[in-house]
Amino acid sequence: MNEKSQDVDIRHIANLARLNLNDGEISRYETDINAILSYAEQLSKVDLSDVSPTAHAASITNVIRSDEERGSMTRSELLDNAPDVLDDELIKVPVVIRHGSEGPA
Amino acid sequence: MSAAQKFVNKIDSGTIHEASDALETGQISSLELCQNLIGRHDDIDGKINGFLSLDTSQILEDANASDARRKNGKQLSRYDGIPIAIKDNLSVKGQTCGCASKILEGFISPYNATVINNLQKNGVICFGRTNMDEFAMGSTTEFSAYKKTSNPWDINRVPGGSSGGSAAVVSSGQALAALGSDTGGSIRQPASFCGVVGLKPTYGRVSRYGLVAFASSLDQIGPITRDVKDAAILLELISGRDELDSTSLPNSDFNHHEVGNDFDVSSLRIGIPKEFLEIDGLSSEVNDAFEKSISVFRSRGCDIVDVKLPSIAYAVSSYYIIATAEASSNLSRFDGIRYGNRIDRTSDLLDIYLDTRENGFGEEVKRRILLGTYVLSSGYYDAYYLRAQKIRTLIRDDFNNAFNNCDLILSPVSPVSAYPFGSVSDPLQMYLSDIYTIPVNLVGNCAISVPASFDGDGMPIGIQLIGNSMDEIRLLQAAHWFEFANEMEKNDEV
Amino acid sequence: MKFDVVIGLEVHVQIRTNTKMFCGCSNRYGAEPNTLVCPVCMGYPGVLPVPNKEGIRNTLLAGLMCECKIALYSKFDRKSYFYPDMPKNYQISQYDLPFCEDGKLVISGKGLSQELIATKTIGITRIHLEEDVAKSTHFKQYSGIDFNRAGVPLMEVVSEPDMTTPDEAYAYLTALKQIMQYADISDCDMEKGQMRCDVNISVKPSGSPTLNAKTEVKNLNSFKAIHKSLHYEIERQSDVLESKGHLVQQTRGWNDDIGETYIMRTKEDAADYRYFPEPDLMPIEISSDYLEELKKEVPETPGQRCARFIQEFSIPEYDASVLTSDKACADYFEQCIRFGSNPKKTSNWIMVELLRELSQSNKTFDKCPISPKDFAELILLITDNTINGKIAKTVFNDMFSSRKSASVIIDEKGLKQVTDTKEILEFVKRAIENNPIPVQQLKEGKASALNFLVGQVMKFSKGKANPQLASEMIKKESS
Repeated sequence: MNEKSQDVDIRHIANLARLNLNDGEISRYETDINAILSYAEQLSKVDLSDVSPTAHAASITNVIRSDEERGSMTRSELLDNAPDVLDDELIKVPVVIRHGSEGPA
Repeated sequence: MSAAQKFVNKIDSGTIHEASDALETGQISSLELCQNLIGRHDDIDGKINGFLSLDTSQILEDANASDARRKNGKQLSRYDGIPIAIKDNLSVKGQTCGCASKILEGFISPYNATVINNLQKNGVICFGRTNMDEFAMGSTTEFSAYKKTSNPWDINRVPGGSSGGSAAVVSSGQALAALGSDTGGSIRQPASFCGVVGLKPTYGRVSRYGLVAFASSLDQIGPITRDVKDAAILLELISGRDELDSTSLPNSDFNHHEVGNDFDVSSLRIGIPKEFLEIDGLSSEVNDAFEKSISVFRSRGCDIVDVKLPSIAYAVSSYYIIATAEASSNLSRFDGIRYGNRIDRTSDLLDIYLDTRENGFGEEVKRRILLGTYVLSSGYYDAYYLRAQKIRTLIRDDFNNAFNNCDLILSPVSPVSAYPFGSVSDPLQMYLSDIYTIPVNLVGNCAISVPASFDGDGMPIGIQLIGNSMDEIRLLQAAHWFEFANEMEKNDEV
Repeated sequence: MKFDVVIGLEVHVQIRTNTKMFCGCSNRYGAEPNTLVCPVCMGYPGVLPVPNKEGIRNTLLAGLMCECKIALYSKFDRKSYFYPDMPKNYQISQYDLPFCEDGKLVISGKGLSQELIATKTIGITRIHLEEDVAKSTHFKQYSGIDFNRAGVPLMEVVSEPDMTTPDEAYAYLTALKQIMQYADISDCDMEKGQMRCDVNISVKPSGSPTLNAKTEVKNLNSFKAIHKSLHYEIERQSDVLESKGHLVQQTRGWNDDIGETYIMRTKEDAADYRYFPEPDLMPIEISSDYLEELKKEVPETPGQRCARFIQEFSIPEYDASVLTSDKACADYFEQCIRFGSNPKKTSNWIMVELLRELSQSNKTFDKCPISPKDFAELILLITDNTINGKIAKTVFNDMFSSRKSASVIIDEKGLKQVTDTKEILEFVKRAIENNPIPVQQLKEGKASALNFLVGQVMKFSKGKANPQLASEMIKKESS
């Protein structure tokens, strides 16, 4: 196994992905993922310096829509699926203060 | 024997086009058709476990409504009243849409997938929700959170995956046809394992709106059917540009009548990539079936040409990086906040995330989320994700070059035929077995798996035809021809 | 010790469109909670985004207003982090190929401290387009989330660290807000969350070549709070440096109640957003044709309009800059002129009377009780001497509260200026008779005596006499 794949810190990755893992799972996933990544090390041997990346299977551009309303669903439709609800109006979660302004980080 | 009885007797091998003819001529009603399929389901699905749920009262209600329409001459199409089984990752308004995962337990979808709208516009009835690998991640359907589906040809073997439930219910006569989804072979491989036809359309031909995403740039919905003609019919029903899917292609309507019988196979150039024959783990029986299929084409005057797909060697690496990266992001929405199952032990937000996702996701899903999160994480993007995308470019170039020299590419579907439960436990081994199917998803082309032969244990083996982007007509013509010619060949042998 | 200050701003601006950025839900403020939602903006399983053309158009327009380079090839990316106000736990944003880059904004005028700042060009690093998140309301034990705002088109404007004082930051925000209003992109009402700002600030000893670690301050919801937080941070960071301390990169919040920033996180626990190209959205290519078309739609910038006002209407620079600082005000002014009113008089009356009344009654121009047409009529009635300036003020106040036109009020109250010399002569004679001493003083050449006598005439006429006429007649009658 080479250096790069040994770097895998499953605990850190699991935290990023918001997955709780027990010790057994951590060591199992560590083994699996290291094996997969060391197989994928084959990619580092290909000269890709002049190759552009492909993000999509189709090569179309500018797929946009006009600014017209399409309607919304009812609040009850939304809240019926919600695990916890406040005053029949809001979706309830434990209190959290965003690390940042009211809005995107 | 009544005409209806005649059709019912062959219902476990009947097709959409036969049932449609029988409905149009009044030989059978939609109610009879559905009742018989439900009866078949009640008899055998306890052994097959292909369905996760089958709302019989809703189905019979829909069938009655269809019969009433037809009686009044108001049928929505010639397929009004035809029941089609639906994979559990396709959204049907008012139904559960669980992706065979515990995390979506109790979730009722408030909207229809575009393919479901398209089917219902034509009077087609949604016939049950089929089992799958959780979130379509797997090749055996063993990763369903609910049950293991058996291969109807041998109930101790896997049906393939991830659309294993769809393939098994079609193969076992519980449904005339089914919809599946294919991200790296999830329609074609189970079709091959279960001896039915599986079509992965060109990326963008069928709207993905309402398909719960596994890997957005690779996913495509497609039919699993008993013959190629049905695959063409179902493709016609579900295809077309959709304004709700930004990746939907213009001019993607399909007309199955264009797959006619007047096809001149001798004008066809079939490409054989030698790289595909050098795959480790290609079983001799699959190899034999493949060689035999080549000879079927060759014997009818087809040009068989060598094509090169040199970058295929990197396809599995590239695919599993891209697919898991996209999946890790697509599945982050399942957090127990807005819908689905929430586990709240401590009234702490972080714990809700951790506990809900720990309990809600199964082993394989977690593995892929971890891998995908890793390859996107700070410091690793360039080494993995970006490289994988560049390999994707090379593979696309390979296919473009190949299609300059041939019309269709012929290959195995899977290196092996259906195997017993539990026989593949190493994830990397499992991923490597997708080598024949995943390049097609990376490139976005269309491909079909058609039954070709059987292995020594009597398990079916399919072959794969790969077409160029949007070349479904030629793909289905050739597949249709092969289906017929191969049958003749078998009869000749007998 | 003296210090240099480096300030950069990241401003989020909601774009005013009919619908959200990636779905067909209405983009509207103030609706009942969780009523403007659909499977797409709620991140339900299986849904897909489709970009709103107007969101993109407005972002490009903002870029052109700020003289940015417009990307001919652009794309959307996913930015991942878990938070309950973000339905998908990733935000559709733009990472390495934003729509607009490398622009600039000129600032001038006064800062919040009312001190004049030197005209200066602030660089705009980039403007990118993303989707807004939901609104959380926090209670003691739990939070409630309203998703109406989730998915609203949101522009992020990132400045270069070109500002050196809180006043400059204030002027930059003012200029940016003007641009957004001029291009009809956003109302930028901070109270409604239509404009939100994070600041980056670092302090170093004067002349020191090395920059210190910067601090990012979030949670700033008014221009005043931004200004105050910058002052606070300059002082805090200077104190650290003076006491030989070490500044570390950190993110701080702003507590408006006590007027202090507080630490939220340091660089060590910085988020890993795992950006990657949004696979559900196709790239956007801007053709040169489209760009040319769009350039034609670019409205005048406030600066251009100010210059035009000076030139076209021959009003002083100060007037022009006050009028154009608010697009609605400038629009109002131009409409009045179109109804034929004198530019300089109109400008005076808007700046002195109208702006004061609006501000006292807490109204904006869109709620102004006097239409430009009526306002122009008032000015015309002043210019043609139908009413004098003093009466005009009464009429104006009446118009503002009753919404009636000037001519109606003048008729109803009989306020028309008396220009009939016979009538005025009566008043003049009375004034001379009653005030022998001032008359005497007037004869001795005392100017204030004339003013007094004119005042008497105005009093007798209940303000309606034409003061010029009265003055001439007093001089004549008393000699």
